[in-house]
Amino acid sequence: MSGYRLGKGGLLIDREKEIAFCFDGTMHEGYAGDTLASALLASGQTLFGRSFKYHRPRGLYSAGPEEPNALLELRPGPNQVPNTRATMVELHEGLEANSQNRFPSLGFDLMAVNDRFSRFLSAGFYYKTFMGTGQPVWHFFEHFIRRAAGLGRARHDADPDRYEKTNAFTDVLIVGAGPAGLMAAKAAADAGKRVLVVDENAQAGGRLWDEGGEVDGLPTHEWARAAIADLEARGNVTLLLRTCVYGYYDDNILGASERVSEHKKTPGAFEPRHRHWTIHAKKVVLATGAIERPIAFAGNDAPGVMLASAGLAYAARYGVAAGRRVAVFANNDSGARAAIALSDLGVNVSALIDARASLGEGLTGALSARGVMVWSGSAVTATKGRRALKSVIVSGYDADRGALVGGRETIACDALLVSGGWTPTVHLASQAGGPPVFDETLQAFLPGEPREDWIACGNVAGELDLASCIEGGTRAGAEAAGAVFREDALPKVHGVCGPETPLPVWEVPAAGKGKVFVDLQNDVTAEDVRLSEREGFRSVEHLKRYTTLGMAADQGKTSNVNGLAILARARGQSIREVGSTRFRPPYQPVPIGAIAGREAGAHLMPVRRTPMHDWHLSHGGEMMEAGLWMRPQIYRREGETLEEAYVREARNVRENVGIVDVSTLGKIDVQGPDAAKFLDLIYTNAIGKVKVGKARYGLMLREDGILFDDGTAWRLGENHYLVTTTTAGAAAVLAHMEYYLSAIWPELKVHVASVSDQWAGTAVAGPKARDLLQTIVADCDLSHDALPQMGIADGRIGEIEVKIARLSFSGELAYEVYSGWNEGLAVWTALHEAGLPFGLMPYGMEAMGTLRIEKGHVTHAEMDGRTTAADLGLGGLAAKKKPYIGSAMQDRPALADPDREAMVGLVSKDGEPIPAGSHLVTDDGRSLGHVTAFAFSPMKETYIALALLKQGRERIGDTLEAAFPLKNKSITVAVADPCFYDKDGSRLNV
Amino acid sequence: MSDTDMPRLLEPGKRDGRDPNALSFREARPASICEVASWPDRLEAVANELSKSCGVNLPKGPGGFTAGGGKRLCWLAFGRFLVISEDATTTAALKERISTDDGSVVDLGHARYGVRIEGEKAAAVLNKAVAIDLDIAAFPAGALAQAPIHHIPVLIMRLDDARFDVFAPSSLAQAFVDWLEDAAQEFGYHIGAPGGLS
Repeated sequence: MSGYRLGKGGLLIDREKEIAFCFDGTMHEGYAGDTLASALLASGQTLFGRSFKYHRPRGLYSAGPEEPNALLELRPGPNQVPNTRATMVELHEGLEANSQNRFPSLGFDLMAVNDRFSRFLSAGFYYKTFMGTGQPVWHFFEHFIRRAAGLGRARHDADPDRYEKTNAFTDVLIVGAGPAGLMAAKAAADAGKRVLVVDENAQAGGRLWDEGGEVDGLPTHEWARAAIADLEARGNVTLLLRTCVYGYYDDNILGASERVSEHKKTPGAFEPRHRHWTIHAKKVVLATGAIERPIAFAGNDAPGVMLASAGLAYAARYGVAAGRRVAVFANNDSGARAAIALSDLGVNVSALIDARASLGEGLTGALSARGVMVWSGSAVTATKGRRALKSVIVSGYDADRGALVGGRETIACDALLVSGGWTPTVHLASQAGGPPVFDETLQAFLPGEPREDWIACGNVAGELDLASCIEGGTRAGAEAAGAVFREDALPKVHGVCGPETPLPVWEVPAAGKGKVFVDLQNDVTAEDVRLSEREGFRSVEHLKRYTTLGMAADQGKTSNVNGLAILARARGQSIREVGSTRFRPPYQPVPIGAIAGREAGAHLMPVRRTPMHDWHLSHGGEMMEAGLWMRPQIYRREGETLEEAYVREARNVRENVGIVDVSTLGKIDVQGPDAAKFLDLIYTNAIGKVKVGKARYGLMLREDGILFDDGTAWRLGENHYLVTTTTAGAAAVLAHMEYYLSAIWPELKVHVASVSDQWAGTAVAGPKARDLLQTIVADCDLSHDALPQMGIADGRIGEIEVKIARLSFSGELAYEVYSGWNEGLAVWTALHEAGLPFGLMPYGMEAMGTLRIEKGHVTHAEMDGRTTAADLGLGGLAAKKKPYIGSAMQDRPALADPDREAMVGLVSKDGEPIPAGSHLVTDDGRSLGHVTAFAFSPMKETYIALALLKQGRERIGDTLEAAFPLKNKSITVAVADPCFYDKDGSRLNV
Repeated sequence: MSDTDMPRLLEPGKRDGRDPNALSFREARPASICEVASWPDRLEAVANELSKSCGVNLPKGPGGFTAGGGKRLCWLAFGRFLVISEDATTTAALKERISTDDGSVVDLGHARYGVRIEGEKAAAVLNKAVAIDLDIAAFPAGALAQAPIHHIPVLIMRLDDARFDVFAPSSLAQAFVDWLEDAAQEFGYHIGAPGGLS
């Protein structure tokens, strides 16, 4: 092919604005309004890519979104996009694109050797070759195979561009802004509805830019401009271009991807590259148009062979001729009409080869008048020219027998435009509807029964001529808007005819060698389809998977129907009997960035912060994730290891006093006349009997008797409790309570509300905790008698009201000081300052973990969804005289099995850490349980751990091996009581 | 609590994004917030008491709010209300007036962080995360909705065509503000001085 710019014409380009761009390192020029494809075609570019498998040279095949061949890598650098269709890239200053899937260059590709061995690379090659060879063989060859095949390559570096997501709501969504879509939008907008019109192209109008004839006395393209301007001027219409609706989901929700600034070298400031739209539509009008269908014949992939509609679009829209000597091959009137229109636009059309015995009325004369030689009852049987079309071979064609007749003629041409009829773009209709239905008259699949609220109109509904499109669109728009369709208001169409019924020529019989391609993007040939059928893959779904027909990035837009027809012929069935595969989202590839939007990297999930978050950071706190929370792990001092830091912090709690931020604990306000009764049902122990001003530690079980969560319940009033949960369990416990109140016990007058963010908490722990608090807390008697263990009191720190509960997780004398969230930092800093004379140090999660391990207190490391209260030595908290959630199931035999794992302590005998996750194994390698948590104990001066061990309590005193195969370690441990420190609680009760 | 004790998440005077005049944000700081629940058979009594105590009409139903005299009465769901007030004594007063036999009052004054979002693009910036039709006809002034924004549960209240108040949990306030400022970059925004409910 040797395309060139025509001296005139080009409705979409501005010849006054030249634009320089770079393709494969060579500078070219085009005009504003060009696509990359039209500008390259105009500059004589023949090759656009190498094919997927055989690395055959390929040229442009279309002018729109259906392009199977011209896939390029757009832009250099980290925001490069592979597999970009040149036909959809708007030319812009500084544009850089490179061809892909070739080495070392597009013109000379060493991998084209694949084509020489193509008979070994037929459908099912991988299955046949590697099945039974075993994984190692496949893995060895996989690397080379993946390098040899495939299209563009994604980059590994982070994409610097911005991607956005948003939601849109509309009364009527119209997909496609061709003539049917424009009229549907007008009708719906006239009825006062909110209308959203979405089109994947850069300009609305569809093929109105290429049609001859008139609408309401205006040339079609001028009428299109007027119709678009009319819609844009309306306040209730939004026209969203460069946006592809790729998926149709339940409840009339559709996904769309907008190329916001893909037509610019660099997006504007704060402008996204792509935007994902989730469109919520009350009604949908599918005006998705139709794609011209190829005809399969030998050599049909030669650069220079393209769809007739594409050749016309390049001439009409961009003033570009597909070649210097153009031939047309068709089985319907679209070919003849394209030949006539192209001649009128100044393109040298030398021949029309039409498989039909005769053309539509008046066409032969019009072609002759333009010097186009007509070869009716003929077919192209082969092409000449590997890297550029040089000629085509034509034979007579007997439509009745589907056979070639007569001799062969060679027609010189550098472009062959093909029209095999039209394929309605039923993808979205298929995603949200029944199977597409084959129409024998149109020789095409039409939308099946809607399963969502959509109406199809225009080409996709089989309304292939302009007048039908306009009427169908208007009717659909009115119906979607609930308005009356007015036929008398329709625009008048003159001089435009639709394509006639195509002659069903899907594949021209071979007259020699040469591959007949069906799916250009995945290199699937007609012979592959027949091979599939012969090898038993006869269902269309099997055909698709065996040959990969229609599975490429273009979703088989130009190949599916031809593939089905060839399969039908091989099976001796009709196309209707063979049926069609179902379309699934996406209709077009969607950039991953558009799906992720801003939810990437640090923005993936929100961070929950306590009021003391910044204080922790500014005082050496090294933060760690705890669900969405960030909590200080340690406050490292210069030169300290992590272990040295937490051991220092933990020892200081045992010897002096420490503070830890416990604002992350779940907090639930429970109020109502039935609050006590409710909590008695939720907890295993008698929370309802707690006196006002007291707290109690409690356990919750799941319905199946397994431990669910633990925490404390503070009775603030007769009908009022504050319940704390673990940090991790807060949301689940609240949901659990709300479920039971809503669905199981609706008669209980209880209200639960999360107050996790209402209260900030600081735990003050250590033998000097009371001394410290007494220096700073006013209006509160903190003596042991006035505020014993589990007591609650109100007080004041400065002007801030605080609530103090004497609770201990560390095993030391300890208090939790709660204040309003916004006052948490003030309370924390006041406690820190007042505590310094007492040797106070803040401590983090590691020290807190160390202290609780020394005491044998449990967390979700032990409450792991498999353990019972008895397993963890908490069986005494399970009341026997009241029912509660889980009480019925906790005594079932499996949970009472004496062989169950029970919590024990471990002491390292060789002074080595005992990693969590280590398995406790016997001499013969059997696992008896695993380590749940470990620490270096400042009190025991060695590494200790908690573990779940079969018959654990009976093994206290035994020696076992803790195996950690990930690091090939084995530590000798002694099984011990899980409470390593102050078992009688004497340090608490002071 | 004093004003200076509050975390300053939105920095007054900050201007950023494409057109800093397109949107304005500020902290919306009521003096008290409380959640009020009624027992199923006492809904009418509690609703009437709230209407009387707040000095405003009852909203038409769940999903709406009424405002006046520095108070907002928000009907969140069946039997569940939120009262937002510029009067620091409102929560305590409601605790006095709503009997335990009728319902309960939970102080959430510290638990929520409010942001006023104002500008022609206010709905557009929210719709980046909120899958609710915020067209003025579908979500008019006086409408409220609870929805997640960037996994953060928020309460959205529409004041008029171009003004919304959004309340987020305090622990996620910084995360919400981070999201909001980032989402607004495309339009541009400036941050004003903190204010109340008006």
